Amino acid sequence: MESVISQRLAAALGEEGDATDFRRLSGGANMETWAFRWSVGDRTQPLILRRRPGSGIDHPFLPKALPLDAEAQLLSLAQQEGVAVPTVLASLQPEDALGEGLIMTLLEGEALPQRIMREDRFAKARERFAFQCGESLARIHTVDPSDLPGGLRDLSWSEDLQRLQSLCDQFGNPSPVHQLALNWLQRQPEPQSRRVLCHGDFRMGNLLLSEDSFAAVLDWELAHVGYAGEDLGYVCAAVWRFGGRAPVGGLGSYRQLLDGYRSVNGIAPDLDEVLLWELYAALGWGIVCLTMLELHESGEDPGLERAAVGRRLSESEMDILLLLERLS
Amino acid sequence: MTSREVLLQALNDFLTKDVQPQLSGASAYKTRIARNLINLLLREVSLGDSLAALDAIGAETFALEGDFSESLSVALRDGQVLEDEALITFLRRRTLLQMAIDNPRYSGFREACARWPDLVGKLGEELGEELGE
Repeated sequence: MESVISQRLAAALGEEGDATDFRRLSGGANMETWAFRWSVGDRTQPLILRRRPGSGIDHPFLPKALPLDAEAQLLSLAQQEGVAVPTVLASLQPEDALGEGLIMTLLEGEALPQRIMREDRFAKARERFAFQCGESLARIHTVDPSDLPGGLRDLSWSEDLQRLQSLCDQFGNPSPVHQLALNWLQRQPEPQSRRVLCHGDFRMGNLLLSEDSFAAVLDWELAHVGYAGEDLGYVCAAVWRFGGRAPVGGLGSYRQLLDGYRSVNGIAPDLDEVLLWELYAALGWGIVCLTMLELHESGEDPGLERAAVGRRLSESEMDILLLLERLS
Repeated sequence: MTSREVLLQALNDFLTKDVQPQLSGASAYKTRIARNLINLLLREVSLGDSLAALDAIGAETFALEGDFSESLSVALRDGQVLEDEALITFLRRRTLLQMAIDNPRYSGFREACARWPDLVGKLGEELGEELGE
C-alpha cells in the first residue's frame, strides 16, 4: 500500500516523497480510515486515506454507497461555499487494485462526542455548537444543485415516504410505533423548505471540533438531494445528544441553530418543519437499527454491537411517541 | 435447578470481576457491551412476562392474530386499526415497558416517565380493565 500511495501523491503533487507510518483510525465493514505521514525531504505532513476495500456490502436493504470520486466533488463544492472540510489531494485508481480511496489533509480537532461533551477545553466550542451547526448547514445548502455530481439520491416527498414504507415492510413490520410515525408523516403536506444538497449524516461524531470552532464536517457518504429542513431535524435527533438535554447535539437550542442558519443568507426553515424532520430522523434511526440487525442476522456483519443494536429500536420508538405528542 | 437469574448474575460477576480487569482497548469495550447485554437479559427475565401479558391484552383489544407487533403494524398501515387515544395510550405503555427492559437509562425513558406518570407501573390486568371500559 505504501508504495502505491507514494506514487499517487507524487503524481498529484509533483514531488517525490514517502508515505509511511500507516495507522488504522476507524472503519466499519464498508470504509476504512487511515492516518499516515507524507515526507518530502525533511518536511513531513500528516495525511488521511479513506478507502473502500471492496465494493462494500451489497445488500438490498442498504442504500448504494456514494462513489468516493463523487464524495471528493462534494467536498470541493462545499469548500467553495466556506464549509470547513478536508482537502482532497489525490485519489486511488482502478489499476492500484486497492479499491476506491481518497487521500486528503488531516485536520486537527476532536470528533469524539464523549470528549467534546465533557472536557473543559471545549467549553467555548460547546457554547457555539448549535449556532455553528446552523451556519455550516446553511453553507452546504448554498451549493448550487445544478453543480452536483450524478448519482445522488433525489427523491420527492412521497417517493421518500414510499421508500421508508417499503423498508418497514421488508423488515417484517416489527414496530407499530414506526408505522404510526409513517402514517403521521404521510398525512402532512410536502415540506416547504428548498430542495438542496443535504449532508445526510450531519451530527456530533461526524463533526471535527477545535477548541472554539468547527474544524471540519466529515463523512459525506449519505449526501443526497433533499429538503433543507432534513439536515436541521437530523442534527436535533435525540439519538445524537450523547447524554445532553438540549436539542442540538445535546448542547444548544433550536433557536441558536436557526439563528446560525439565518446568519448566512437570511432565510431558514421554520421550527415546525424542523420538528417534522426530527420525527423523520427518529424513524430513520429505527430503520438503521433494523438494517444493522438484518446485516448481523444474515452473517454479513457479525459481532456483539450489531446484535445488540436490535434492542435500540425501543429508543427510536420512545423518541417518536414523545415527538408525536408535541406535534399533534 | 439453578434459575436463569442466578446463572446470568454469575456470568456477569465473572466478566466484571475476573475478565474485565485484565482487558484494555477494544476487548475491554466489547466486554462492557457484553455485560450490558447480560443486564438487559436479567431485566427481561423479570419483566418479560408482563410484556407478553400486555401483548396478549393488546391482541384481544385490537382483535389481532399472529405476532402481535407485526399484526398491529400491518393493521395500522392498512388503516384497519383506529389511531385513537386508546391505541396511543397502549403504545406508550408498551414502549415504556420495552424500554424498561432494553435501556432504562435512556434519556427519553426518563422524560416519558415524567410526562406520563400514570402509565408507569400499570401493567397486565389493570391495563386490560382500563382498555375494556
